Amino acid sequence: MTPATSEPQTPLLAVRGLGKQFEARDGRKSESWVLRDLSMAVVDGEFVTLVGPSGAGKSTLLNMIAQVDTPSAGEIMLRGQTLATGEHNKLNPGWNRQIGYVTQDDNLLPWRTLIDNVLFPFEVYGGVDAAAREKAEALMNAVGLTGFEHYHPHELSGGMRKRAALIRTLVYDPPVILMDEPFGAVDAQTRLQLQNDLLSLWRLGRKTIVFVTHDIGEAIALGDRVLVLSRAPAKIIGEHPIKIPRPRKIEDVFSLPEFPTLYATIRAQVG
Amino acid sequence: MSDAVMHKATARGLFRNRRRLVTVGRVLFGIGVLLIWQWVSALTGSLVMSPPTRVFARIVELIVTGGLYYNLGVTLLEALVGLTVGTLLGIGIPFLLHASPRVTEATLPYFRGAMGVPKLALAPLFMLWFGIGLASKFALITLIVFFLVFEPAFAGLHAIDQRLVTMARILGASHWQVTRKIIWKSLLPFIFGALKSALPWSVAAAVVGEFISGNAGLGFMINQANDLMDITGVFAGIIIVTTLVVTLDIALNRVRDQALSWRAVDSQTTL
Repeated sequence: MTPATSEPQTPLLAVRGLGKQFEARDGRKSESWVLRDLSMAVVDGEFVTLVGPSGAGKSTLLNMIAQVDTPSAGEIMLRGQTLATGEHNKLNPGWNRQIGYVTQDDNLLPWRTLIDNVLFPFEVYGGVDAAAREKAEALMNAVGLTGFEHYHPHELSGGMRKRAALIRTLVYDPPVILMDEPFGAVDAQTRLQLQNDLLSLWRLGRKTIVFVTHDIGEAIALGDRVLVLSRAPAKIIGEHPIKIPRPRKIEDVFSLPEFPTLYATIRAQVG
Repeated sequence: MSDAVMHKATARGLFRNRRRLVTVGRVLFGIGVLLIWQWVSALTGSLVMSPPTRVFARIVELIVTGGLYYNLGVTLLEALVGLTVGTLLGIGIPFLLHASPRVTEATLPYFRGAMGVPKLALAPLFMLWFGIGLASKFALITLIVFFLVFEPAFAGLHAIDQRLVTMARILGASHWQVTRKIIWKSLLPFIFGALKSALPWSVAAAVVGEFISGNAGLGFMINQANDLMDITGVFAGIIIVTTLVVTLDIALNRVRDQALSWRAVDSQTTL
């Protein structure tokens, strides 16, 4: 995992006073902010979930952290090093593979088989060696994709493609992983399966995860901490540590005695 | 046997019957065309239209005596060189334009306008500039193929799924890797689509070029027969050119099916 250079107090990922203004059609900055004065910090190995109403700029926030979109104000820091500020930003997607990003769409390459999609991060960086193959196969096995290595994405179900997209990011071990509603658009049963898969994978690797969702139940069940985003211009308006012990099973979390109160509190904040 | 299985089995049987019917229909149609041809030529007399029997006898004669090969080789050479150079330019220039939106905006009207130029009408000029040999045919075919490939390649570059590009960048791919592994792969279906029409055009342009002036090639052969009022020779030449185009098209389909084998829809839908 991450080297012990960062002191316990220094968050792995920090966002300070972040703002985003969208450009109007004529190219000038419009007055409307999607996101304003947003600050948050995530420590090493933490699983943070972000909930908020749709259109609250959740994806915009992750895009800025992943360095695929530029902030209009504020700054983003990784291990105390500035990645981007409102004044100066040159996009470097993924920040040299320090930040992984699992998006809403699986974005698998349609002309590649599943295994070649999962090996893609090695192919473009570092090369595909025996260790890489072993790792890819182990992860595919962990999420039940063994036997489908040589299928093309269009031959597989939505849930299987989501799993493949997930392990394509896990396989190269980025210190921070952003997830933008990765389990949207699948049926409830598959979703539950995917959530449990994610928890068991996370237990093995203990990566730092920032997980965005509009599903409050999912946010509670997965996270160490739930952050609540306001309507646009978005900022953090609530923080809820989740004390439910791990390892968790998603379906059990929903029937815990403290769950309804927690859910209701967050629900009220999301508005 | 369950109902479903029964249903499937009958469906498969029907499908096989249908295919057989199509094949029989094709053969009957072909025979019908030949019979009508024979009948019309009997009505008009062989000075206007040569009967198929005589035309095929001539083709066999050309093959046996070896009179065909040199002319066939010249036309094939012209078509393939023009096709190769035209395709490379038709892909290369959109790539260059893609790198600079400003240059694209400045030059695109000229490319679009030039498409309206009747390229075959330039053939006499090309003979004047490049002589009656191979060079003028290369130039003519290259120009025609270029314009047939340019537009699809240009459209293809703009239709590339940017989410795949972003994903690859996050996973650590360099610009060159993105070009090769994402952009080029996404472009291939467009390029094969363009080649599908450029290929028959390259042969047609070669023939027209040889027609206008030249001393070798299938077009020259047809023109010579025409000058001698050898209607059988003209028909034989046309049949040979058509066969050449069909053969090249089948070869192209093979290459395409190989290159795009990952696609869900395949040779079934496109012939």
